[in-house]
Amino acid sequence: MALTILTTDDSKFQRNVIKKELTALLKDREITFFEATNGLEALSLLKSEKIDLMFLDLTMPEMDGYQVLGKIQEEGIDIKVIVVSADIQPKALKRVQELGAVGFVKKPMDGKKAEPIILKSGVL
Amino acid sequence: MSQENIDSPAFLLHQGITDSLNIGILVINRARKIIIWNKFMETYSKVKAKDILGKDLYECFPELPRPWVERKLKSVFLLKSHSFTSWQQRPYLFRFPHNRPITGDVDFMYQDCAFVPISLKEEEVGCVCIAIFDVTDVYIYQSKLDEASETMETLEKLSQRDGLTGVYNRRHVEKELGARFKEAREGGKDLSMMIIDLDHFKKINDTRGHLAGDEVLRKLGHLLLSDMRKEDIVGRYGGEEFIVVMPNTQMGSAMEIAEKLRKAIENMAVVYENEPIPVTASIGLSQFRHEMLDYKEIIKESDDGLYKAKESGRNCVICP
Amino acid sequence: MSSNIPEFTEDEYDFLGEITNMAMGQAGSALAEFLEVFVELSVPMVKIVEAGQIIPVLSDMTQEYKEVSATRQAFYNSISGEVISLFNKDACVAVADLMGYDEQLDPAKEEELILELSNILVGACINGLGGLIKTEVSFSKPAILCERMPIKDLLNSVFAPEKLNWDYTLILKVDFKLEEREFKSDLLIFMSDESIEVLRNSSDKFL
Repeated sequence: MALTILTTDDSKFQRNVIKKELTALLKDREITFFEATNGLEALSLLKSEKIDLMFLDLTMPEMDGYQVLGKIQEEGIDIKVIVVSADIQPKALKRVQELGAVGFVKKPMDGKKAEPIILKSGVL
Repeated sequence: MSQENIDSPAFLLHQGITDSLNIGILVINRARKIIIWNKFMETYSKVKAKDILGKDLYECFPELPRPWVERKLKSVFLLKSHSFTSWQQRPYLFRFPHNRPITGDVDFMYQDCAFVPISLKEEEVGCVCIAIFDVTDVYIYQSKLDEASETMETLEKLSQRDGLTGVYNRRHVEKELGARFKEAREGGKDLSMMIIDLDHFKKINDTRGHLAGDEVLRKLGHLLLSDMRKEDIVGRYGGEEFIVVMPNTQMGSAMEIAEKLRKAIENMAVVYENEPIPVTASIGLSQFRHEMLDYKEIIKESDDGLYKAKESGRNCVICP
Repeated sequence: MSSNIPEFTEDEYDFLGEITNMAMGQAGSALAEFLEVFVELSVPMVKIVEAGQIIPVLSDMTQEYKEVSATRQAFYNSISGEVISLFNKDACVAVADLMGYDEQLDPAKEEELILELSNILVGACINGLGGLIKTEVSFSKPAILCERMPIKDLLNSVFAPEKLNWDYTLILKVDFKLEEREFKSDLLIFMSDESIEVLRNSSDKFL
């Protein structure tokens, strides 16, 4: 069965990097990508589609990554989230962990570095 | 660098170059041990590399400003990027003699330093290279430039002054008057001025000589500078004519000031070659009015007043 | 003249904004680690500006500042350009203790501190940019442009029309604020011609 992945970032470039890296990393898997450019779009996709894994940016217009994580907790949505962030200060990492993210990777997303997190998340 | 490389031509070449540079090269590792100490450093510090290589930097040089050096090193190791210091903020890292003992007039070698990260393995800064540049010449040129610009300022000040009397010259006072006139026109400020002309000055020159005339002018200059208010602009307008620009002053007070000045001139004791020279002056006074479009008009009106003062017997103040 | 100005597609602007953002993230994290404080980052700005428009554009970008201290530093190699670092008037005082200055700040120490801070931010940011596009960058030593000067006067003197011998420049602006401290800094990164092309073409390295 195809793996469904949602990339959430206001930058098309960053979404493309994630798609490219994951396609290379999981080359024997069939992947269906969904894309959202802000938190609101992402939440509505989480409700309408069956998503296995979500990649989430922190700074976005409309609704940012922290707010999205908050909503996911609040509404009890069952989704594994990996945060992809340009802000790599320990405090940002701590905050997203508290908000339930399963991983935190630095931009630009590097498939090799995301691999152990994806394996650990158990979505494969 | 591994043992077998130490005698390799490439290593010897690098060492030769490092030693021939006219820049101080000091390399230390994370443990703050000295790894490289080039010929420049040996020459100026009188400390041989063989005596300090592998030893602790601060033990070898306890006079170094340790907290400051540590902060620099921390930033280079941590951030993996260059750091610089300039003689303008910190004249030197090592107190070295300079090589201008004769022409220098300086006490030590002024230094710029660059702290450069050196990665031995990928991604990790193993060593920091501290490059020390002798910038004593830059310091000397800069000091000369600073001195020169101070001299220029003094010269400029002098050139605004009349050499004989010490008051402003005509060019400067007209420039100032122009500016005050503009303020009065645009900013609604008051402005008055007067022209002071010594009575029978030609006679003094003719009977007592030009040096006597100069003494009178000098005395009047001093009187004006000491008696006028700080905000007034006092200048020599020509020959025996002086001008006083009085910003923020209405006609009433200007009249009082002028009358007081006239009396002071009358009472001014000028003595030349043991003989007193009696002096009086006529004064023409004017005030800015809105129909005046150019500062020359307010001068013209003072001039008219002066003419009338001369007509009506001299030693008086007239506002036309 | 305006026909020379490179035009960027929306995707290219997006890419430039993102590499700047990532470089800023690295610089912010370097500063945070060095000072042991949390650094607040915001969204960088990317703009191509003609010489004639430089003062109004920069005035607009730097509205938050009244009086600033500023430095300039050049970087060079396969990308080259200049960075003007702006600091709010009392930035020095706000971070003196974090930078290990416990004594009273005299003018020379203030200058040293401003130079050191800007060197850290510029070094981390430009090295970050270089690292992302896989190129090494070298730096000139930073120099003070002004101390506690109205931003307007600074811009007018640095960008006086008679001094501008270029037609257009790419400006990347990033800013840093410190949590709970009166500290604010903006880096204005200026690049021209070839460097713009190098940046533009480097998106291939990611995709």
